[in-house]
Amino acid sequence: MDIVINRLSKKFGNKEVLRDFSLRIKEGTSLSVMASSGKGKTTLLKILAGLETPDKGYIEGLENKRISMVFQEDRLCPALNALSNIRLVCGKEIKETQIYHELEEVGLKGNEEHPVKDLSGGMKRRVAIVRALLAPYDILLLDEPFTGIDNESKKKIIDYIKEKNKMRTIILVSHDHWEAEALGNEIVFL
Amino acid sequence: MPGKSKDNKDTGNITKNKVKIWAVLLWLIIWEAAARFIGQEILLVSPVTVLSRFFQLAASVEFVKAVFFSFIRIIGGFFCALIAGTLLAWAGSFFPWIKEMAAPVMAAVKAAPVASFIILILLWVPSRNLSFAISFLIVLPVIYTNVLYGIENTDKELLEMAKVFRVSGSRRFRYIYMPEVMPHFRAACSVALGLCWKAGIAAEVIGIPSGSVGEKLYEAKIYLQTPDLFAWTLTIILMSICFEKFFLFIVDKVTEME
Repeated sequence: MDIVINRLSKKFGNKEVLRDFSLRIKEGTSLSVMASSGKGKTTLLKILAGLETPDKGYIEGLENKRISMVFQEDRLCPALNALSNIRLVCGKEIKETQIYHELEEVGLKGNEEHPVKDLSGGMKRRVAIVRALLAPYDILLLDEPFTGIDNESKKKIIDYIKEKNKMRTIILVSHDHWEAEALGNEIVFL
Repeated sequence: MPGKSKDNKDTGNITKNKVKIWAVLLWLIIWEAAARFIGQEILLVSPVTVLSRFFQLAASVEFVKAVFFSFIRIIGGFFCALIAGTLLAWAGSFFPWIKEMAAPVMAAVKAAPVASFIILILLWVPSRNLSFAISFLIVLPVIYTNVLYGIENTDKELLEMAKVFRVSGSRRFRYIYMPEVMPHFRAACSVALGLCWKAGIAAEVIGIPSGSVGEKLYEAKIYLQTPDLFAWTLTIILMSICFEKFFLFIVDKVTEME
């Protein structure tokens, strides 16, 4: 089922970050939403994730859909290691060996049991990406997911996301045109 | 189930103001010297006499009964307040009206002199249960305030993450709330354990329940038995310190297991 965003508006105090924004996102598509900072990209994703309520407008097509997300911040439990952070959100069908394998795929071999607070920014981002991909989902929301990751690794991780996503809907927000083109089949400007 | 990283020792990183043996010995020497200089046991008893009297008392059945009597009531009050304060804090964090309703009561309990409560509660509660009630009242706001602070300061971004990923309530509690709340809970317990002994024994000295440590202290005062006064004080200090160490050890073990 397609996601239909209909005349969405959102204000924070006097600042209007979204105004009458409408969009149709076809099921299984990879959509990149581009805009400069402060134009409501993150707000749009938060509304889609159910973390914010729009002042006006509505969204159709999210009923019974499971959302997964890479947040703009890593949002990893600092007290847990990489493995445990991923196990926290994924179902029992995901085996520990698979998590080890996925972490190895994104270049985190040997860091699985290190506390995430000791990992570098780029490593944390990779853990957050693996977590989002292993969590059960129908729609994957990516909010500036490649911050802190070098260009060479970025290409590999984009390929990894495409491979693991298996034709499910992806909505990426970014201000980086290269990222938007590399991951998205479609690009829209906010 | 997810587990904590092996080398996480956050909860144990509190800077400890440890008591050094040399400092204790120095003060004991000063105390002994002062007692010898004054030369009157009724005014200042020597540490050697205190220890000797303590061991004499400790060998009696009456001592064990008095310690048991006070311990059960004061620690009973502490545990009841621990449960009530924690539950109230959780309820207050989810229902603002509970927090608003509790705020003036907690502020009043914190600000009012303990003696006023002791006298007031004596009108309602038999003196044998006075130390229980006072211990409860003194501990409740300390636990409530700290646990509530811990819950309210839990990382909102992690809670949003848990919402998006549909993390179950029990896992949220264990892996998101607990690491945030436990350091506050531990600090509150440490403070509350010291307070509950002070207030509980003070209540017993005023209420004079038969067979309590407070009664023994009162008798020591009435009959000017300074060695007994010091020996019972030493008993209270030992009970307080030993129980605090034991309880915080358990709290630390539970935190590590989580």
